[in-house]
Amino acid sequence: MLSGGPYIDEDYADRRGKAFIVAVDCAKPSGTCFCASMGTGPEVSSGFDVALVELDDGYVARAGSDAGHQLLERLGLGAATSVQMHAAAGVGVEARATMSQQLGVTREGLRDRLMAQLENSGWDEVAERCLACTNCTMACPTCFCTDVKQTSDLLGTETVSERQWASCFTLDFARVAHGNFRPGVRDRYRQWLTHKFSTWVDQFGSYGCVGCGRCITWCPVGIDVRQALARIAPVKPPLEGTLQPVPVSANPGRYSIGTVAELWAETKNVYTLRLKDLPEAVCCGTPGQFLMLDLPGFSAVPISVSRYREGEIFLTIRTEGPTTRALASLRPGSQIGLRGPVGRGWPIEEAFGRDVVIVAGGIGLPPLRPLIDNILRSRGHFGRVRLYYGARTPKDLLYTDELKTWAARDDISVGVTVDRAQVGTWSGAVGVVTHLFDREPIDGSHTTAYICGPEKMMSATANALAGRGILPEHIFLSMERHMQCGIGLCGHCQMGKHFVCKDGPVFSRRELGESLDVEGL
Amino acid sequence: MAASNAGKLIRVGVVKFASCDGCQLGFLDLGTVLLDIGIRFQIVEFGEASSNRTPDGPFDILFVEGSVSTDEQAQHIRHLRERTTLLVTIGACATSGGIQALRAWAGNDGGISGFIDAVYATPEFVETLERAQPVAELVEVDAELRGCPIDTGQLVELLTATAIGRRPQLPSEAVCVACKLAGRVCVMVARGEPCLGPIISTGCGALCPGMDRGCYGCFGPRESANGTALSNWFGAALGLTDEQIAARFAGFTAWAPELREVIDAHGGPPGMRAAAAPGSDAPVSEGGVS
Repeated sequence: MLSGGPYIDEDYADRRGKAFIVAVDCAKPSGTCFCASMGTGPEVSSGFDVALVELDDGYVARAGSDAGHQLLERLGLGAATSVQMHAAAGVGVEARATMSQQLGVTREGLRDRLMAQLENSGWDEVAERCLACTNCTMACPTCFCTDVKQTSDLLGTETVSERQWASCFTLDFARVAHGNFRPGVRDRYRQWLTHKFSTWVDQFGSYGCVGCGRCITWCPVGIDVRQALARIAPVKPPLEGTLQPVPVSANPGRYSIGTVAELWAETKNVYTLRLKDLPEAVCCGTPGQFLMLDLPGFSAVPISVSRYREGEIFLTIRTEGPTTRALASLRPGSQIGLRGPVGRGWPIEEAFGRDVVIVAGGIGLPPLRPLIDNILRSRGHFGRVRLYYGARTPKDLLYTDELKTWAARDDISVGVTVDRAQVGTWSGAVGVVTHLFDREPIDGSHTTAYICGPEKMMSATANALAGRGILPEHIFLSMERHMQCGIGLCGHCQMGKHFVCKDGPVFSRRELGESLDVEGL
Repeated sequence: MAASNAGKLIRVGVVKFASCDGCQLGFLDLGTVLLDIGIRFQIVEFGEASSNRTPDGPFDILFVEGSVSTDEQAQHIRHLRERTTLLVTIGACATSGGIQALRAWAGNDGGISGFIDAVYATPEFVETLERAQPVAELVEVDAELRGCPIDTGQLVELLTATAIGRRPQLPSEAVCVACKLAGRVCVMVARGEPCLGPIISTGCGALCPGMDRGCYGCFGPRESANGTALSNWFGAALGLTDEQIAARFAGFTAWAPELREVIDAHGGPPGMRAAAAPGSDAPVSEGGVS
């Protein structure tokens, strides 16, 4: 690593170059070993001059370099018998099998999984136990950090510079003239773990952990890097009771057919269609995705799915133009053309282990309802869950029965407000939805937010939540633009660099950047 | 300071309060370095080593050994502070109160008088503060040399840095660092020996673990010392009782806040309450006061 590539340590490269390296394939992993899961063992694959496999009656040796070949030739060893070769091959298999029974590390996607969790509460949990004693780093075979210490005689006439092992767990490691970049133990543990399992990949093209387990063995208080990774950067478990997505057609001219099962009014100008007899792909969308709906003779319209059920979907539609009015006039048994679900929906897994704030404005609630359904179905994956909903008047509130049902549950709290109400008709809150945030404190560092509503409302809401400490990458908004194809071909829905239909409609506040508040974009 | 007065000798004093004088021996143990000191330093007060004294200073550097244990000492350290540019406390007594600071826990059960009556034949001649105090509780301290006794290497480093005019490089990391650099096997992990090393500043070169014993904490808590986590492990994994945990923490630097907190959470130093009960015939303490 440090003897080639972009960062060369000359002293190390020199010593390493002069060393003759004899390696041994591991036959007996200990309980702290996980090299198989890091892809570095138990067999030695490179970097050795001679590698040995230990058998009951001796060793099977193989050369890995010219120097190794010469040595083996000079030793004059006989060729291994086929029985010995067979036994040697079995050693790695057995060691691998032992490790497969133990806790390991899931490498796939780990670099990104971990970097997405910089504010995870798991760091605080480790920091409560961690002594920052440096033992993990001092025992780690890949930790390479060093200090240069200068010592002199009393007069400063003779000075000696000496390089010593250093550790990112010491306070001095990140000290500058007037402060320290990593004052807390949490900061230091996070620096260490993210270096081993994320940023090392960027620097050196591999993980910085070989799975030797020495940091586990020598931690005086039993902190296990495997458990820390599983806690902080878990492999996302599939949500319970959700259907697996099926690819949808990439051709904007190809439609599926669904049948209207039921249609009812939610408010004076909003109604919900329940569709049945649907192809499997249509029912397997994710929350926040939408369908292109097509009635013969009318132009297609994008409509978000407001609920998924096995074999059925719900669409909640506000009558705005000819197509939506035509859709409202359908009757049970009517057939309807549809394509999708398309687009990128709400990234529900971003909120695993975190508090959730959902903010809906007006007709923005329907695209959020499947998200609420999924969260309540897999409630254990989340911390506190809060829904804030604002509408123009009490008569414009959608899903009023369901709002009451949710409000009665103790695992989701619901706040509802209206812009204006006639005296005597409304006993709830009046005002903009962001005022509801002041009812109880939001822990911004552990909260993921999902927002849907008019663009101005989303912008104001995102700002209000940012003011409570939620980072822009943890705030998600669903954008509206003119969408025709739904698959990023037709060009209508561009917003800055994004095709809203395909790259969105859901974006993080960070992805939107400056483009959110620009008029006419 | 020194850089701007390159030609002038730096006036050094060494004084002591309640202590065993062991840290002052650190100066005398400097060997040949002691001969070099005269090039840059003038020792103007050092009662342990020289009869040529200037007890009232003024001092460019004053090394203070010992805890403040009487009212007279409290007044004296305040006076010396005014006569000193750079005040450096040396040793566990001066920096954290030392082993005698354990008597603070006597206050929990009727005060210090029970101790005095039990130990001294004529207690009416003994004047003492309720607590043996670290110097920094009374006056501002510019630097600390920790340990029981101090490390002469750190002493030389402090003198050198002062002479050259740079900041001394004094370690704040754990004893574990010294253990690992010395290639020692961890006594706690390998043998289940309770060891304060992970939360204690190095400086001793991991002396006790090098002799197969756990660290007793002579150099006091390091930065970020997580005493609670370590004591939890002592109990949960090593099976120590509350009393054993308190005993391990109640040593040379017991009064340091990070250690004191753990001692209090585990019922105080063993034997202290029995010893301090007025009129009790119980032995003075098993916790170390003698």
